[in-house]
Amino acid sequence: MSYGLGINEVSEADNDATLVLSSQKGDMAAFESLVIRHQKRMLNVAFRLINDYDEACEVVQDAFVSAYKNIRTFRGEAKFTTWLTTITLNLSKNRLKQIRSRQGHVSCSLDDPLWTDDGELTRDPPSKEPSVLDRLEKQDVQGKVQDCIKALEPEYREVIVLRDMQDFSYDDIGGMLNMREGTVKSRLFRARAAVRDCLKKAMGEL
Amino acid sequence: MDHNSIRHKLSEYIDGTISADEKAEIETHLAACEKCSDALRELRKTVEHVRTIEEIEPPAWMTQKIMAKVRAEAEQRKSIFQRLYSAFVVNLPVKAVAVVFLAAIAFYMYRDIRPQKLSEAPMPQAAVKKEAPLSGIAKSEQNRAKDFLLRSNQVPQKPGYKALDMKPEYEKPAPPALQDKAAASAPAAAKPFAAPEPAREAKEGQSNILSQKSRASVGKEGASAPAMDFMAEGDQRSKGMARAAKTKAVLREENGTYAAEITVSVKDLDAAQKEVEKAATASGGKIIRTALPAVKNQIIVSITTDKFSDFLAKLKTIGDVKENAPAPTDREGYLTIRITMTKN
Repeated sequence: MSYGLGINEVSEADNDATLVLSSQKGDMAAFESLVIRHQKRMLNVAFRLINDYDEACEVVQDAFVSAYKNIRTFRGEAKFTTWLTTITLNLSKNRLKQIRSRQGHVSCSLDDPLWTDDGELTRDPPSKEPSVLDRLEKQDVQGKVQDCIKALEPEYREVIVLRDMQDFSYDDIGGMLNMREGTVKSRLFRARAAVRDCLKKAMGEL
Repeated sequence: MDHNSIRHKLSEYIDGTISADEKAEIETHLAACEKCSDALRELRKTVEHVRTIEEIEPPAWMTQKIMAKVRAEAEQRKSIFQRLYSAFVVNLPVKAVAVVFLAAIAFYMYRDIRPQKLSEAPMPQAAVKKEAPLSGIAKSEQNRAKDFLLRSNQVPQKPGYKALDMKPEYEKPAPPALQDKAAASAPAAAKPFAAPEPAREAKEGQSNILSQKSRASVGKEGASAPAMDFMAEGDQRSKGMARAAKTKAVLREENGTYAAEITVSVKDLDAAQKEVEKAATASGGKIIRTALPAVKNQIIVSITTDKFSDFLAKLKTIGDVKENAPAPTDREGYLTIRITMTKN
């Protein structure tokens, strides 16, 4: 799955630069080529951050429209992929906030205690559904890893997605998230450690 | 480094972004520490699991939907540019042309108004005051006015100027038989101002200053106006009337009547024009107007009567001089003279 570094990436970047140049001159076909080349990668970034396929698709569409609007401002100082991923990241984070805000309007949780008519607190009977760990045990490794990544806080999730799933360098990640390289390393270590602990719990051992 | 420091560096160690010294130090420690080796193995396995997660595929309609939105955006931007284009590229030149047109009109209006201001300038207050008590010579002045009546009748005036003529309402109306033909044919609205006395018309044909004086005298002495033609008034109390008289004087000038009309026959018109201007300036005169677009080779000069002969002498050195209407040089004041240059 990884977008390998090296000769292929260099030639891809060159192709991107050519397509971007044509797009800047109003070549719609060139921009369409950029969409075809990058939509899958952007969708995966958005999906791993939002954990909702439809929302991720919306975000990717918005990201490309935004890229088109601002394509003339792209000076080629960074790679087009990095620039586009930054747009997708920002839109994903905004969408995630909106989703969380919507969910936050629910005033009570199903797990909250309930007041009975006689004024006593009752709790829901214990669910007969399997616990998270139980569910994780039944899933295959792929599902367990995905759930463990999903369980991370967004600021850790984005680092592990960008580094381990999208193979961006520390420098690129620092630029995209507007943070120092040391912070990126530190967050990545914590994110990996958290996933490791989660997987150990889910699978027993690694 | 202790165990904790080593384990914190394992993430970077896996990515190979660690310095050679640190790498060597970590590898030395790992060789001796089983727990830290296990931690490295677990971390490597975790990263491997994360990196091997299958990617999701975009829906088949994704590209089309994105491009549809992008094209809609492009169209919207295009329409914005079109609006801007029509606003700045199409409308702007139209507005610019309108501004230039208005500026041109303003310029020509200013050019027409400017001679009026210049002709007002030489109105000598001293001369006016000096002539004020000359009512005793009214009779001889009346005779002179009659002479000018004959002269002015030779140059018909436009009815349009009659309507603009600001005569005082209490001016004594002239006998119908002596009314100006042009005034008689003027529109009805202009008629209250189009009944001048014969002597007044003659006087108006004489010169700007003189016609102003005569207006002023009418304002002061009413029915005795013909006798006061050449009497200087300059009465500051009747400023409004004086202004009206000035306006009339200018209108008369526009109409082609001057204190004197001189024709100079020359060989080179352009050179002669410059020489005439030079002569006028040298004689203390003021050039009111030169080379009207409609009437070329004409110069209107305002000069004091005592300098007129000097000016005339200078003109004779330029070319053959012919006085079409001799100037009344026996008065003090300013004369407005039209010099026409013809090629011999």
